[in-house]
Amino acid sequence: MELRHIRYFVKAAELLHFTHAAESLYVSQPTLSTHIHQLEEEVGLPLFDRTQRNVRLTEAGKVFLDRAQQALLNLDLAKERIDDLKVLAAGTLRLAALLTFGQEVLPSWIATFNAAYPNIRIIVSTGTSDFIEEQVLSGDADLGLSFVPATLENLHGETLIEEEIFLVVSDNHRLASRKEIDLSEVSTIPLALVSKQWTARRIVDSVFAAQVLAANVVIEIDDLQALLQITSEGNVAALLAKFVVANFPKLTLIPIAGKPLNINYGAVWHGQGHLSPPAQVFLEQIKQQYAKPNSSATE
Amino acid sequence: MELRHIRYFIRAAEVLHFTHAAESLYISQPTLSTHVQQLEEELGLPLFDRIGRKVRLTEAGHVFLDHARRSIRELDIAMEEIADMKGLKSGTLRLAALLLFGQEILPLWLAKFNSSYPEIQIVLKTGPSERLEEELLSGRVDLALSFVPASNPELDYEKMFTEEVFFVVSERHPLAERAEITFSELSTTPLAIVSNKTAARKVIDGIFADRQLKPKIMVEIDDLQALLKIAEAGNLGTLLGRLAVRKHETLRLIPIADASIMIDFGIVWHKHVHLSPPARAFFEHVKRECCTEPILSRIPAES
Repeated sequence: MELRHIRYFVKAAELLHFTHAAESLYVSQPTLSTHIHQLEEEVGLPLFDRTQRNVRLTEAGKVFLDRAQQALLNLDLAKERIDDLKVLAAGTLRLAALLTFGQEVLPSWIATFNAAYPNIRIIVSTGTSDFIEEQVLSGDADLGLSFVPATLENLHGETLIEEEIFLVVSDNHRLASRKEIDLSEVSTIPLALVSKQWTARRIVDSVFAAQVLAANVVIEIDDLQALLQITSEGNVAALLAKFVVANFPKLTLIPIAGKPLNINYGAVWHGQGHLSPPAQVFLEQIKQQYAKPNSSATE
Repeated sequence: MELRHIRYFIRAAEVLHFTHAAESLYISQPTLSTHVQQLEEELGLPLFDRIGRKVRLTEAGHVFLDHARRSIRELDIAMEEIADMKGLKSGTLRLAALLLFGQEILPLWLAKFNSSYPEIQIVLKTGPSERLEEELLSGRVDLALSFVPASNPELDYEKMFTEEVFFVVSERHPLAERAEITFSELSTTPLAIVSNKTAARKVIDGIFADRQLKPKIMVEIDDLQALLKIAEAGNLGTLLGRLAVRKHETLRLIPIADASIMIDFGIVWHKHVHLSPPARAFFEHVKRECCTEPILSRIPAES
C-alpha cells in the first residue's frame, strides 16, 4: 500500500465520481482506477460498488475512508507542526547555564529571544560546568552556557566572553582604592570563593598553585548571590569576572598585577548532533551580541 | 513520502539503534539510513541526532513519531476491520423469518444488507414461529426473526420492537365504523386467525382463556397473505398488528378496549452455536435498521 493509493482513494471516495476525482488529482481516469483497483486487491474487498449507475462506497470502503482520512490528517498535521518548528513558530529551546550567566546576561538574552520568538518555550537548567556538559552530551540540553573549552569530548565550544578575573572588594574594604594587586598579596587576605566543584574555582586554585601560593579561603559558597552579598559587607574579598559582578552595588574591582588571570565563557553544544532551529538562532543572537567590542552585557 | 519509509522511521525511533532497527525490518542499515534521510529531507528538519552509535530523536523527530504512529495505527485498524469483513465475502446468511417480516421490512433490510455485502448469499425460510425455532435448533438457519421470547430454552433472543394487536376488518364489515371493541364482543364475532403454530396465536388464545372466553374461529390459516385476503373479502375479522396490515388500505384497525394485546418481535439464535460472520453482520445490520427504519417508528411503542 502506498500513500498515493490512499490519497487517490480518499479523493474518489469524497467525490464519488472517478472522472472528477482524477481531474482534481491531475491523473487520468484509468490511472486512478488502476490505483484504486490495486488498493482493493491489497485490502481484499471492493471499496467501491460500481454495479449501480452512481459509484458508491461499500461497507469496507466506508471503514477504509474513515481511517484513511484520519491517517492522512495526521501526516498533514505532522508536516504542519514540523514547518512550525522550522520557522520557530513552535518549539523548545533547552539551555543549560552556569549560575554565573543566570545573574545578569542570561535573563537579557532570553528576553531578547523571547521578544523575537514568543512561541518558543525556553527551559533553562542551571548548575556547574560538569552538569552543563553532561546535559549537552546527553541531549537534555540543546545548548550549554559554560566555560570554554569544554572538558568533555565531542563538545564544541565558542568563546563569547573572555573575562579577566579581578579581586572584588567592598567599597569600604581597606584595599578598595588600590589600582592593582599582586597575587602574592591576594593570598594573604581573607577570601570568599565559589565551591571547589566549580570550574572557576579550579582555575583560581591552579593559578595560585602555579605561583606556589595558597589562597586564604575563609568562606566557600556555591551561591553566587550570597557570595556577592558577603563580599559587599566588607570583610572578605572575592575573585570574580567582571560580568559576574555586573551591577552589584558597593563593589570595587581591582586588577591582578602581572599576567592577567583569564577565564573564557561561551556556548557549548554537541559536536555530532544537530543544533535545533531555536538553538541555532539563539546561538547566532548571542554571538552577534559579543561580536561588538565592549558589549552591553558587561557594562 | 512512502508508508514503508514511515514504518521504517517508527521502528528506528522506537529502537533508537539503526543497526538493530534495520535487522528487525530485514533491510540493511544503509537502506534504513537512506530512507530516514529522505524523510528528513522531505520534512526539512533532522528527525534523529546521530551521535556515534547512539541515536536520539530531535524535537521534530518526536513530533513526527507522534503523528506517524497515529497515522499508521489508523491504517492498521482499517485493515483489521476489513479483514473481519472478509470473512463475509463469500459466506451464506441463513435466515428464517415470520411471514409477517417477509411482507415489508425484511425485503428492505435484505436489500440494504446486500448492497453492503454484495457477495453474501442469502437463504431465507419463512414460516410460523414454531417452525423457525425448529430450524434454529437443527442448525439449518443462523438467525430467526420471530416472536420473542423464544419458547425453547436453548434459544437466545433480543427484542427489536413491540406491536399492539388490533381487531382488523374490511371497511365493509358491520363493525368497520367502531372506534373500539370489547373482548366479549370479539368472542362472538367470527374470526379468521393465524394457525396455532405461531406464538402470536398462543398469546391471543391465552388472553381469551384468561377471560374464560372462546373465540369464534371460522378460518385458521398459516399464510398471512391469504389471511389478509380473507379479511379484505369482508365477512371475517382477524387479529393482527399494524405491520402485517400495512399497505392494505381497505382494512380498518379497531383497538380492543379492555385488553391490549402486545406482541414482542426480535432476533432469535441458538445459544450454543457460534454465529457465522454473515449472521453477525446481519444481526448488527438489523439492529441499526431497527432504530432508524421509519416503518417501525409508526408502530406504537410499548406503553
